[in-house]
Amino acid sequence: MNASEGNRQDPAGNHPDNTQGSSSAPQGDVTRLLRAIGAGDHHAPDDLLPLVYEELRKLAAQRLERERPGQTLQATALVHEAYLRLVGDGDTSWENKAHFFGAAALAMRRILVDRARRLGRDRHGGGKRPISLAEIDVAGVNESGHDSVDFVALDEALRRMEAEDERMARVVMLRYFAGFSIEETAEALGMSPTSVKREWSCARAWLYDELGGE
Amino acid sequence: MNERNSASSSLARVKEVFLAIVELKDVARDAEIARLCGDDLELRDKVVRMLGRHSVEGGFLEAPAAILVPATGTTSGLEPMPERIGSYAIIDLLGEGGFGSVYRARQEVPIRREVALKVIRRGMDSRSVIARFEAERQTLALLSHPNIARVIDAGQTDDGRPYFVMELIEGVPITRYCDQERLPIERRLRLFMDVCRAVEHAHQKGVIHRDIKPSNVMVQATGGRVDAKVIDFGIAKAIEPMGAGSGTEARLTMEAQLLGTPDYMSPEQVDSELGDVDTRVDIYALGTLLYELLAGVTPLGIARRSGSSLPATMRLIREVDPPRPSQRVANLGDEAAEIAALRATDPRRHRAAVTGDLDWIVMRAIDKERTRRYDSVGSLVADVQRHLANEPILAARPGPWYVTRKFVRRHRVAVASSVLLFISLMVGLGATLLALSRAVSAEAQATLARDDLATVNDFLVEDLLTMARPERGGHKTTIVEAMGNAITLVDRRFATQPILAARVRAVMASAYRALGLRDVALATVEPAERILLEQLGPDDPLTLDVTLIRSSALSDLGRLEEAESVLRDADERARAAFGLDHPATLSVRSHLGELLQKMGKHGEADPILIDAIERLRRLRPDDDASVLTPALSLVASLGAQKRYAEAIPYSEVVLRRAKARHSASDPITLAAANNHATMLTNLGRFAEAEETYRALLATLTESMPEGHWQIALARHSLGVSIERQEGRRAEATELLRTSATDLLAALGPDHAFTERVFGVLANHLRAIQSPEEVAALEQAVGLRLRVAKPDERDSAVRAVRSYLVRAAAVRNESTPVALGNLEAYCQAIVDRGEAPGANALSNLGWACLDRSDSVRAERLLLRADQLARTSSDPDLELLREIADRLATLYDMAGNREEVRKWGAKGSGGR
Repeated sequence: MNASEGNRQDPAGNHPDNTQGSSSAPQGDVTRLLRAIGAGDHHAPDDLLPLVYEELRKLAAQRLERERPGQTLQATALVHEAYLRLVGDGDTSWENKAHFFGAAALAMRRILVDRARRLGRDRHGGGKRPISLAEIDVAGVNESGHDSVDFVALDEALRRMEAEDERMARVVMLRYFAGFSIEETAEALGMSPTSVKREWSCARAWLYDELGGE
Repeated sequence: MNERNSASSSLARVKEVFLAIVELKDVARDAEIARLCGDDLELRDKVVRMLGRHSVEGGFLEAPAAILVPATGTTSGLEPMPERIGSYAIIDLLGEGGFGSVYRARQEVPIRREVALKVIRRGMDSRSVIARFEAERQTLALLSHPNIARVIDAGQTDDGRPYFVMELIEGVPITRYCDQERLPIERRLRLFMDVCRAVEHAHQKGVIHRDIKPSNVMVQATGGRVDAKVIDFGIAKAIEPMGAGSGTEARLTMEAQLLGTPDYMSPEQVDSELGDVDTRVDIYALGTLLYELLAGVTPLGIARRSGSSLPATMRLIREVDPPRPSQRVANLGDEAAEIAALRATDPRRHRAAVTGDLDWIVMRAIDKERTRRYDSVGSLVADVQRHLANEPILAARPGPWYVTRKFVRRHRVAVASSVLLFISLMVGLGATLLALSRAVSAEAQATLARDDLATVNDFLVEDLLTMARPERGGHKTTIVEAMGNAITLVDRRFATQPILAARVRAVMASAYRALGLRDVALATVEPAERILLEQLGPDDPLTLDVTLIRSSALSDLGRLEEAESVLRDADERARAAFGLDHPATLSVRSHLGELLQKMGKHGEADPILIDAIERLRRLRPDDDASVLTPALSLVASLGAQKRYAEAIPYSEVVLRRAKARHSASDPITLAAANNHATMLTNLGRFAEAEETYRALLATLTESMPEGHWQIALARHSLGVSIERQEGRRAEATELLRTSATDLLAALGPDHAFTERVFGVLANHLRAIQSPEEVAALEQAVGLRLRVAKPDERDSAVRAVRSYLVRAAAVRNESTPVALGNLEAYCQAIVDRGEAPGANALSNLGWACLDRSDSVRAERLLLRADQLARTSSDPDLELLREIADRLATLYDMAGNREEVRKWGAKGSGGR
């Protein structure tokens, strides 16, 4: 979860000024890691993920407590908040942004899948506690009429997609887990908006069918 | 899931085929699929399924990933679960919160039982937390109440976090329980009283909870018993070290709490300068809980305001006064029905149930100033108890019109509706009379002492209500009789009190206005204004108020220029006497703005209205009638300028505030609803408009006699909003038909509304291909021909033309036959001796000229000329117009002599 030793020695004075005292350490780390990724450090991406994951998990736990039951917590909002906290708005280079959101989308996906698994286990296995109907939906429904998403099944399908067509999977990751627009996705992946649109439409249809949708 | 499928058809192949055909149309698509897939049926099936999905709009993965907040607010599943904590075996996770996690655990010694174990999150000094808990332990041991869950033990985890062990409650938070079981208000109150008694018990033992909120008030349903259990007693104090003291730890604790459930924190908890924490923080939190149980939302709704900063949240808690529960309920918008349903009721009844006693009980408990709260939980419970027993509560303040309202409510059925209408208007205006007294100058106040108000009160309540009493034959009294009586009564009763008499006359004039008796209204108010000018002078706010009523009466009668000069004069006087920022001045300016907008002088009206609204908002609450009225005019003005999109934010707010503050049948609310719905219709938001019109119509039919023009107009508008919705055209026919006939009956043929609704009806009938179309059109065209204004000549001609086309198409009539129908129609107007007959003939003649039927045109115009000349009160402008038309006709025919003759009579000859 820590940055590698070499990265740690970067002078701290270059980091964007940060007023949120408590989160200054991870913010410094993340900015540093992003720079290292830019400089071609192959380990840096692996170090970035846990940092982002931890931040997102914390944010999600906090927000879940604050929201009213039945409200939804937009993953996008969390991811963007994590970005502001960890990177700040000083660094706007697209390349860094793309790296960060790539990691954040992955972290978000893991969080959602872990949570869905765990809730599923609670429901089936350790089931002393009676589970109300309201909780059954937790896995990924949102109340505003969107289709419910089984995150565990989606994760499995995405794995299959990644094995065969990584680019398409990355479009899904950024669009769905980081909430990127078509244009942003295009920019982040160095594709044209038209091809993002095509990949996205095919991916959605394919995933829907893989998940057994009617 | 379909793993086998994907295994056999590679994604690459699927993608290739899918992308090749996705843009193609049906037939080409089928062919291409067949070609590309060949005999790979699996691939083909997969692609076809995907296409089927693709063609559906929206849906799957469209919205970015989201987490649904669990209804328990507990199992977010984001924290790993330990196996043991201290001597307790962890069984499973019960919940997670801002303070940490709660587990179900097993205790082995001294007895085997299941307990709840709450681990406080990192960041606390465990030793001092536990020390403080130990210090409190003796006191906590004294707590023994069926609605309190005991705290048994405290300790420290291996990684140094403090934890508490308490009685295990298998329940859900009280708010959730009530919603889940759809408990009606009364049962919620009974449950709430149990909670209060538990807190009261603790207070008596010297324990303050400090953190009462739904997640600390659980409801446990076991074996047919339903018990509320207050949990966590003593914990807040243990982890809130220095009471309201300073220090980083205290601040962090408070911030954590603010992050958690700030809604339940009292002002003194967020600001230690307001004093030490005492039992009244629990009273505040209980009041907040009651608010949420009643209204479905918390008073400040902090948790729902996303992204508020900590200082902003603290300010909110310290300074912002929440709306009363009933006001909040009235403003729930889309959620209203849902929240009411959770209370086994509908929005209207929900609001009614909360209004009054419960409003006052809650507001007293959550007063920012703690000395104004209940002094003990006991007195709070007692008031709830009184409310349930229908006894007067301590916190309530019944208004002066209580008795009257009760009377009207009791006799709603028995009292004849027309008289009732008059009475309720008078009663409503009585309140206006009271309101007037607040703005009245010192001299006037001296003459309008409390006794005088009582006299007026008696007059309204006794004399007028007696008149309406069915057992005294009141139901046979007509409006006119009732009003005649009322005037005589005023003069008799207030013979020695001229100012009071003037005030009552003013009120009655307003009642007449509201009933559409415009002449009577003016005649009633004029003497009142004279009296006040004499007694109080022109610069008195009361005089100004009565002047305003006179200007409105003038405006009702269409005497707009007179009204304008009255208002401009009053404006000047008011500004000189009181300055711009005075309610009296602003009232005058609101009226002036309204009048100017009515006259079509929008450029002048809008700035005056906006300025008046802004200034009034600084003087009066936003939902005060004095603010809403000019805002309504502004909406009307923007609407008249077709600036609907700009108008809609205003109309929406005005409607919402009007509904919150005034009854649904209040003229302000009615006008606001109508304006808003009109804007919605014009913006094409027909479904929303329909909803608003339906509500409006329901209110109108309840409070007005059937056949009233406002009902007819609302019905018409409702019809329009339905007609414009996809596939619902046929539903509108009946509404449009009855409203047109009703409006014709109520407003007569010369009102602009009448003609418009027949035009709409005709269009509608055409759209549904009804043969009745032509009859409706004939009616509409006939009405159009009556209009007297020369500048509408073109539209009358167009109306005739479109009628002729439609008549020919539908009835298979030739033009002369159809024109003959119209001629007969106009003749019928003339035969009935109605004034616009000459105008109608002239317009039809002009239309015939346009159709090159000069023979008929000549006949009609000559007949019009003759009629207009022989009228008892000849309309010179009309005569000139007819002459002009004849001159044109003869000019076209080359008849020079007639051209000269008629030209001399026409506008050129002046």
